[in-house]
Amino acid sequence: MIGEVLQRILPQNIVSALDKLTFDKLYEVRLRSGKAVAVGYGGRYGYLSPCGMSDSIRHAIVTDGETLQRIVLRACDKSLYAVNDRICRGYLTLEGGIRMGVAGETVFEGESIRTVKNFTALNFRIPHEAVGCAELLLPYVKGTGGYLSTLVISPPGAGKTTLLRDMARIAASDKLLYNVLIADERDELASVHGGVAMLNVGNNADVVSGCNKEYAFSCAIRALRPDIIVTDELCDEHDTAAVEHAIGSGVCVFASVHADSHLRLPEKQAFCSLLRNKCFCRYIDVSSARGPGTIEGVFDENFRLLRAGEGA
Amino acid sequence: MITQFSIVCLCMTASAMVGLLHTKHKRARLLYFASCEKLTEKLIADISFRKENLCTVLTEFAAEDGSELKRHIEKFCGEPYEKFAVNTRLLKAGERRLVSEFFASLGDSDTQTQIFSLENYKTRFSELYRDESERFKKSGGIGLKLSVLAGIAVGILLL
Repeated sequence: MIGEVLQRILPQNIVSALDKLTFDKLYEVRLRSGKAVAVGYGGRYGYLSPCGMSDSIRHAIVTDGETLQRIVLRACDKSLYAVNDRICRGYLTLEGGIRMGVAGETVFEGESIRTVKNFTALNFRIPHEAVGCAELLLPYVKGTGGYLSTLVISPPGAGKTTLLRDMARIAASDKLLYNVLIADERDELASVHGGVAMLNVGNNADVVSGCNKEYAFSCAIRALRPDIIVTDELCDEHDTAAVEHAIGSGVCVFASVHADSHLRLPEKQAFCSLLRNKCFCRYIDVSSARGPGTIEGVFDENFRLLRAGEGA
Repeated sequence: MITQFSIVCLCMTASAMVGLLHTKHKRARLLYFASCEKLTEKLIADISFRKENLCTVLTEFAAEDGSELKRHIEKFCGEPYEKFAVNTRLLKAGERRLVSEFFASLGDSDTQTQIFSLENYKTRFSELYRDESERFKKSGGIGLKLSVLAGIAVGILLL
């Protein structure tokens, strides 16, 4: 699926070069106007040459602005107007859960961004499901009364979304038929494309995508009556207030945040209330120390260690 | 006598066929520009509210269209966008360029810009339809009559 999507969207010279790589190890393709194509492959970055991945820039494939424009138009089936709101937010979700990040000249109208034109860079992030990676955390995130609100903490690119997705899958596949709501603001958790979740998020999962957490939490709680809400990347006071409101309403929340470890959370102004009220019962530190998804520790609401770190 | 009458009839039939083809060509052009105008109207409505995928809107339109535009739409949706070009003897060079530019402009901008561009094309297609319609009213029927008369004249001259 991933190969087919890239084949349809990318120019032939890049597709031919990517064919020399294994898609299982490919996690990023970066195209910049007038610059060499870079790839994230097997845990490191390199340049894409006609022979595959190369450390030397000399033989690297170079793309221009016109090519980037064509790629974007192919990616959106020449319907830019239909995906303009996503483009304004900086990304587009493609079939297979591939996320195409875009950079270019932004056009502002008043306070809000109207569109992005003259694309200067595209970043294809290829998702890799790690089904079962959260199984070992189950004894810590599930109590006698059901699942416990859990916050996954990790720096960018350390695998927190993959872990969170698997937690959602486990909860949504539970024999007790919990209703799981996935508030997928940036289309990273379920990667809905054409109304279908491209990634495995379990049987009993409802996905609300592309909207902010405030909307997803307030409207969906009323409309879909979830037992568990899963959401990615809490950023500001609005996000944490929505989470606090949901937990206060008796809904369990699985969420994630960018930080080095749980010890950095008190430094974040937006998290003061959440920590003070002990909204989350579990904190999971994730890093990429021994590869993406390394569990550094599981902690309770008082930051007491429940499980020491090891390679996940 | 029969031979002479047959020659006149043959000339008349041949010229009538030319006249009919000419009228058909004119009517096809008229239909084409009417379809272009209708298509822009549909695109404006569907892009504004449904924000539907471009080829879905175009295919829906083509399913109900009877002009040559249907063939152009099928070609546009079926091959890479950058390779698309309008090739038809129905249109003059300037008109072909206009239609090619119209297709090239589809789907490459945000809603507001796209609607603005479509409104412009709608105006231009309306003008073309109006001009073609007036021309058809003036010369559509006369062309057929003149060619029949010309056929009779040629037949008589040949005798």
